[in-house]
Amino acid sequence: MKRALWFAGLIVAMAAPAVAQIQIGLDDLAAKAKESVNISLDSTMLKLAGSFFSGGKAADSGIQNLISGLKNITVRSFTFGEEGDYKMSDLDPIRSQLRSGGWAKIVGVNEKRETTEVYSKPQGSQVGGIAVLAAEPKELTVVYIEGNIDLSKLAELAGHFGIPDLPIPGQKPPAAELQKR
Amino acid sequence: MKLEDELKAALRRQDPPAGFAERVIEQAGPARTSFRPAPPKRRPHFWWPAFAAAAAAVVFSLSVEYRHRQEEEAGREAIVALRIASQKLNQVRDKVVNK
Repeated sequence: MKRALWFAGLIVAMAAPAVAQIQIGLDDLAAKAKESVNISLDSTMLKLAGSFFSGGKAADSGIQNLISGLKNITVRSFTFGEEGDYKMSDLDPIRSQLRSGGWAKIVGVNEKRETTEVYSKPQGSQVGGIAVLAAEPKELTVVYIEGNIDLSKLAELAGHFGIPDLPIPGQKPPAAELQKR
Repeated sequence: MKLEDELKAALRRQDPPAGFAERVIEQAGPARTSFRPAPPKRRPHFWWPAFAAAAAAVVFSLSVEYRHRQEEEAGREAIVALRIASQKLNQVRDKVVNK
């Protein structure tokens, strides 16, 4: 009996990390969206990405260091043709998972028609993950990053550390880039 | 002359005794019904190791190329994902600062 309980506990402990991962969902919105970005990088893919930045033409120690501590990156971004193509309640399942998963809401900005929320997962004295929910009238973006991450380095990334200024679907290029053209 | 006559007498053609042919055939054993030529001597197959080495080299180079492509794809996706994350964080920061 004790042995059975021990095995049951072991199975629960092994299953725990899988349960802890937030399920973003929102797959239905892709059909309504004019443009969408769907990126899911698990630890295996992040290792491959790390190899990409560790040598050759794309060598970049900044990005490699940032990626090395990560377990998962998930991005869902939708640009809609019309307002109201999505509902604020579409984000509720994600919010409830974050709340129950020990994530803390560190920033919440509510404007007239825009809402942005930033959640963080504390892990000791470090940040064990970050989630951003950004809802605009015609755009919805969810970013979920799990693992040790330096927020200041992440915020610095745009235009730094050799990250090319790739156009994000549905967004105008930055003013600096327009001036270059 | 005597010697020559003796040799001629010794070497002159004589018919075999009766039954000689039958006895020879009997001693030789039964006649072969079919004739199988001996298999030709095989040359050692040097092309097998060469083929295996070439195939292994092709598989290896394909797997390396596939891995490079996977790395590149993952790297590009990571860049886009991190850029979106970075952009959103900067937007939040600006909103908080400007409030």
